[in-house]
Amino acid sequence: MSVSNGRPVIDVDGLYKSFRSRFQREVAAVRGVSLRVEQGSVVALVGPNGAGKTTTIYTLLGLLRPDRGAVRLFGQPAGSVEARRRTGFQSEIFHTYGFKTAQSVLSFYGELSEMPHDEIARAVPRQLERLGLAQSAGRKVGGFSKGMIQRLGLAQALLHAPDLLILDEPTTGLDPEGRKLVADIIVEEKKRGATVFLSSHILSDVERTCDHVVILSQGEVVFSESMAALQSESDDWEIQVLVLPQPARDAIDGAEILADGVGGAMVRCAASKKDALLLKLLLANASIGLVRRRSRSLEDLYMRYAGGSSRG
Amino acid sequence: MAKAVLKIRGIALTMLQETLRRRVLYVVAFMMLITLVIIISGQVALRMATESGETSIATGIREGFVRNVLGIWTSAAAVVLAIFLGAVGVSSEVTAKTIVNVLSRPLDRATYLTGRWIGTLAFLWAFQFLGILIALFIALAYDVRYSPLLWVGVANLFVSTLFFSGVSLGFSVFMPPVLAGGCAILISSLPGLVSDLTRHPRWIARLLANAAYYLAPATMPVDLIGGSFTRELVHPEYRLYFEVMAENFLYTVVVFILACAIFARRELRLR
Repeated sequence: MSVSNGRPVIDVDGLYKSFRSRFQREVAAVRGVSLRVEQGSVVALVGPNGAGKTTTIYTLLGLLRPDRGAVRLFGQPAGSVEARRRTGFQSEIFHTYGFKTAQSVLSFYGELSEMPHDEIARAVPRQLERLGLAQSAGRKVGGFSKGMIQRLGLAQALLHAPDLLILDEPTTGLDPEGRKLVADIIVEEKKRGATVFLSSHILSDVERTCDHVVILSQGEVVFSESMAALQSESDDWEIQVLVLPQPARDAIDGAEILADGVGGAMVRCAASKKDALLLKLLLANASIGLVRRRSRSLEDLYMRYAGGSSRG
Repeated sequence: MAKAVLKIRGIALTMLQETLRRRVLYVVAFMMLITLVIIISGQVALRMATESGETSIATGIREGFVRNVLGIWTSAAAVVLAIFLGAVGVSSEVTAKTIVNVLSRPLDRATYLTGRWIGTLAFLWAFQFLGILIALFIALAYDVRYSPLLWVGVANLFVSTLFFSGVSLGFSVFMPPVLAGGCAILISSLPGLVSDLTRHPRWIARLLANAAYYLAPATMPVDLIGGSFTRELVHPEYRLYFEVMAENFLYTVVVFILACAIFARRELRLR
């Protein structure tokens, strides 16, 4: 399944990963996932708990090795030092050293990211300010709230201005203000030219920030589409009927009436039935207000492809 | 190269901070208490021996102060700490899940392990150094004389700490920490355990015993600390002592390199 034909930053081909515990049978966490993410795009991996999102992300980072398939970042094998040099990663819950201050945590990760000291000195206060943590720079992380720790997690991922940002549930534990901040930062990073690959449960955030969505269910890619196509294409049509006399009401039998009031009714039907229904309505002297293709919401798609498959 | 050194420094410093947070300073306080108990409890016997003119007994008691402090502090406590801190050096980061954000950086696993080991050693050697300083202060205060062999014994203590921390850290990358610590103790005890079996009538027992004997690290043939005081060694074999230390150092390095190779291929599975 291809996200784009551009130069892929992430190239996953037939990824298969299973786990086996001592007394349990083999469980396939990811089954034949293929995706390509082009430079400068924002791609969301959505799916229920246990769908294989974190396993996919850990494989991208080289923390897990594929059983089968190939995973490449920037043309390099996943997990290579060169690939990680250009990648910033935020885990679902940012586990870090509670005895360090926010400033020293970021300096530590800056050193590990091979940033020169003068650059660390400039980048640390800038990222703390950007994430709203400037006032807490000298405080020990052990005393931080969950939201503050998540913000710090995002700050460390952004610190070395990576070409690729991998964010695993970046809005976990954040309040609406924090969620908006994360969405704004994703947009800013995209403008900077960075590629963003994120997993999320918050579908509204995905709709707002992402160019492309991949739905993962039980370890398989069950849907992959650009947001633009998602918003313009639909199998269903909506017909607004301003005046709905009884013969017209009989005519729409079988179609779904979304709203029915003094202002008329909104009727939904499949594309294959649209022309026939319109003809029936016109013959029954119904007054048609508008006819439009219904835009699909991500939530509808999610429920259709992944609803009820949660393992968690 | 400079980048790797900076990374190792950062990881080592973090490991040192983590170690201090593990309340091992209580061990330091406990060792101070033990030292005081050794001195105070020996005072009565020392006074009696001095007052009755038993100078050789009094000298023996004074030497005992130094020997016991060195033995308990730098041999026993430092080795136990080395095994414990080495064995949990990686597993503690896995349990706390802090390892994810470290290993997702441009960092090879050998650099990471080296940083963790150096951080552990920094604490252990500081701990040993403090014990040695206290022992030397006691030696000065009680006018205890010792031969230059003591310094070789002290060097051997530092090598022991390096060995136990390195081997238990090395083992801990592919086995649980308790088992890793146990194996580090077992491997150092192997020569004593199998020496009789090397003369066993059955060839298979001899073969296994010899294999185990040569797999084990070298053992120091004499008690270097004990031989530094009144009953000094007549012909100290300095060359042999340094060879044993060098062999154990290289043994640790080999185990550590193998551990790095295994760790480089290990997957990170967090629960």
